[in-house]
Amino acid sequence: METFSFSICAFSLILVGIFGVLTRKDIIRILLALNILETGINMLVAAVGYFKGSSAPILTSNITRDGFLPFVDPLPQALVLASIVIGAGTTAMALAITLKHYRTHKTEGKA
Amino acid sequence: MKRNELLINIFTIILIILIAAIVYLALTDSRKGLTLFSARLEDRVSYRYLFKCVSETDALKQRSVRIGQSGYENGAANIVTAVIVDYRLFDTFCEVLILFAASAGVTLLMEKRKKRIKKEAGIIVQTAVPMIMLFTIVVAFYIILHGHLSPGGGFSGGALIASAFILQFIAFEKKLSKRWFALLEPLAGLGLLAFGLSGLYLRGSFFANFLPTGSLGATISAGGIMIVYALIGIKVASGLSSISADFSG
Repeated sequence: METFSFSICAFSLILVGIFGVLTRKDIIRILLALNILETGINMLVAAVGYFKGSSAPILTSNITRDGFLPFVDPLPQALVLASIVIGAGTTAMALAITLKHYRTHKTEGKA
Repeated sequence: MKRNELLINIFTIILIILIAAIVYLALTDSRKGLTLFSARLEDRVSYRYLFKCVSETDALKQRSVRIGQSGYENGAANIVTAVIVDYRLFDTFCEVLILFAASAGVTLLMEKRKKRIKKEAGIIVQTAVPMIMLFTIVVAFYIILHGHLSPGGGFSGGALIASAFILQFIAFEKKLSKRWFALLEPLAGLGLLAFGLSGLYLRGSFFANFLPTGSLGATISAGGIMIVYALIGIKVASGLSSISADFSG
C-alpha cells in the first residue's frame, strides 16, 4: 500500500512536469518543470525498491539465507543517487546556456 | 492567440492521460506472473548484492553474512555504497565525468562580467560564516570517510563542502581563486582512473578492489572504497564550487 501511494505521488509529479514542459514558453519555467519531472522519476525509482516494514540496506547484524531480510532494495537507491548528481550538473549547464542566450538576445525565450 | 493556447493545453492533457494509462498498464501487467510491485527481494538482483555473492556461479554457496568476519568479496556494511563504489564503479566514474563536463561547460559559457560594486555583508555574517564553514567541513569529512558504514559518502559530503564555499562566496568579496578548483577536479579524476588501471594491472579487471577488504563493519575496512569515496568527494566538491563561483560572477 505504501508503495502504491508513493507511486501515485511520483506519477502525478511526472505528469505535472510533462505538462509544464509541453505548454510553457519561458525557458526558466521549462527548466523548473524538467526538475519537477526528474524529482518524480527519482521518487518512482525509489518507490519500486520499497518493501513494507523494511529498513535501510545497512548490515548491522548477521543475516542468513533462511531468515527474514528486513531490507529495502539497494539497487534503485544507488541509481537515484547517480541521477540526482547528473540532474544538478545538467540544470547548471542549462541555466548557463539560458543566461548566455539572455545576454545576447535580451529575451528569455517568450513568444 | 488565446484560443491557440487553450487548444495546446487540451491537447497536452489528452496526451498526458494517454501516457499515464500506458505506463500504468505496463507496470501492473500481471500476465507474466510478476509485476513491479509484487516482486520480492529474493526475486531481484539485489539479493546477490546483499549476500555478497555476485561473482559466485553457485548462488547458494554463501549461506550467511556475519559482522566482524572477513573474506567476503566486498567489505562494505552499507550495501548502497557497495553497489555504487564497488559493483557499479564504472557507472559512477562516467557520472563523475558528466559532472566534470557540466562544470567545464559552465566555466566556458559564463564570460567575465564587468566589475560590479558589490556590497559587503554585515559584521555578524562575516564573523559567523568562518565558524559555520569549519563545522560544515568537519561534518563533510566525517560523512565522506564513513560512507562504507553509514548513509552518506562522497557525493553528499562533496555537496556539503561546496555549500561551505558558497557561504564564503556570499559573505566575503574576496574569493578563493577558481584556478584551485580547476586544478583539483581533473587531478581527482585522474586519481580515479589510476585506481581503475591499477586494479586492471593487479587483479585483471578494471576498477577491481585490490586492497584487503578487512573485517565487515570495522572503521578501516572495505579496501579501496574509502580512497575512491575521498577522490569522488574532492571531485564533486570542486565541481560544484566552481559552478557556483561562476554563477556568482
